[in-house]
Amino acid sequence: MTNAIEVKNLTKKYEGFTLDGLNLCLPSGCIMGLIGENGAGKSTSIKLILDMIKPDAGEIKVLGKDCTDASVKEDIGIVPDEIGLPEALSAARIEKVMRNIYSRWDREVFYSYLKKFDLPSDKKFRDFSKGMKMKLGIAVAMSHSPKLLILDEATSGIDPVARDEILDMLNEFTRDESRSVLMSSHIVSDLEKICDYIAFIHKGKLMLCEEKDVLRDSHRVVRGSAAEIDAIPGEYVVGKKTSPYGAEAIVRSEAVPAGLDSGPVDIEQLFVFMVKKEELK
Amino acid sequence: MKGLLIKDFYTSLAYFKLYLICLALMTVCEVGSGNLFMLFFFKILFISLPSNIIAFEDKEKWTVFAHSLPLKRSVFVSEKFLLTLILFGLTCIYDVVVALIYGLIHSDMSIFGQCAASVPITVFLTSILSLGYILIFKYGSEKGRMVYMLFGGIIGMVCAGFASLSVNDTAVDFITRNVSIPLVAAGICAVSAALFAFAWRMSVRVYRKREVG
Repeated sequence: MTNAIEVKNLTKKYEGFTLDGLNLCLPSGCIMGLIGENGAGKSTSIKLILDMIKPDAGEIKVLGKDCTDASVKEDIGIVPDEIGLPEALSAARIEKVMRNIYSRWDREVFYSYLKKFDLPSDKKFRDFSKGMKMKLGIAVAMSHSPKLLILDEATSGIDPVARDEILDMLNEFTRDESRSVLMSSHIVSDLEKICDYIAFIHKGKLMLCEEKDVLRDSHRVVRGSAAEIDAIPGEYVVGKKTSPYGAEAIVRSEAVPAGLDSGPVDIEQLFVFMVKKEELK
Repeated sequence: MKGLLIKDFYTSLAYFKLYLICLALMTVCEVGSGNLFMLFFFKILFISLPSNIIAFEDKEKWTVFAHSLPLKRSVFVSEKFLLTLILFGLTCIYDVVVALIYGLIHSDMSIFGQCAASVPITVFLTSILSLGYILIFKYGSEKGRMVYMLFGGIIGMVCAGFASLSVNDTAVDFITRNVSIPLVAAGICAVSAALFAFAWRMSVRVYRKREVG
């Protein structure tokens, strides 16, 4: 299996923030979710992958090519958090612009998305709502047969119905095994629904990058008294929370004590517990 | 490149309709008066339109979005310089058309002399404006234009200072006797072309290194 994205030891330093030795690998045909709090380094990572900013160290390969090669963007569709399409242009005029930029632009596909998303072709982009802007951004990103879709907080600010539609579309998109998606979002439930791989970034460091199912299978939420939870060996505990009514911990599956109440873990819980543990260090 | 030019054409149509109204008024004034220099300032504004487009692009985040497109950074810069040349060409064509209309109406073709005289001045001002793109592509539209105006102001004051000094009459006499006007015009055009090429090359260089987003 080839990789859509390969990132090795990627480092970028800003005053007060360092993206520190990021390693990522997104296999073709898969969807990877980038999870992290505000300022964790998700957007910086995406900008580096797209060669918008220059790394201080490290190597990035996108679809087998160096990320600085502009031609690789023929195969990438981008949906940023703020769609920067020209505000004074209508969807029809934006189509005319894009037709002359992408060599594999498909006019019919673009108009089929406009129809699917119920977007007017003659209304100016500035008069679109946030959700409509995002949908038009997706239509632009999907209309040139990309092999890789990169979405940076693309579903935030969109109503649940529209979000669900977009997630279905992304699932449909990766049915073809040569296509992949890298998606960052604050809405972890969205990522949990569709992602094959999950990457946690916290304060510029990659905490983990794992297959979603492996992550879920290898961890359990355990509930009990504070003493029972404290008795679990620390190396197996991802994080714990104590309240006057009892305690809760996320524990590696192999170390779940017999007799204690345990249940499946969700990705959001896992992320929150890991971040809290990291901050206690 | 073609896509970017189309985008700028549509953007200009949307944002700069007032220019077209001014153009119509200008035509009436110039044909009536026979003075092609009447609205010279307006023509320079027209040629500097790409820098206004960049300001809109920065505001609308197109500058960031455009880097997701399969275009080299040099293409974004070159497109703006090409647009500047196109607009310069349009102002020249405009002058010729106005001169022709004036000449036909008033049966006086001497106005074409003004046409020829305005070319080196416009060329020179275009090249001076193009130097501003180096700063715009380095710092972005807002900061770049401020730095450019600051530099322009300082250089303007220095020049005014020199101009106020007494000029050697013998030197002026020598120049006016020995240097022909067409030669001066050609010299201005050559220097301007070199400045324009320098600005183009430097803008590409600074934009390649710029971090967007």
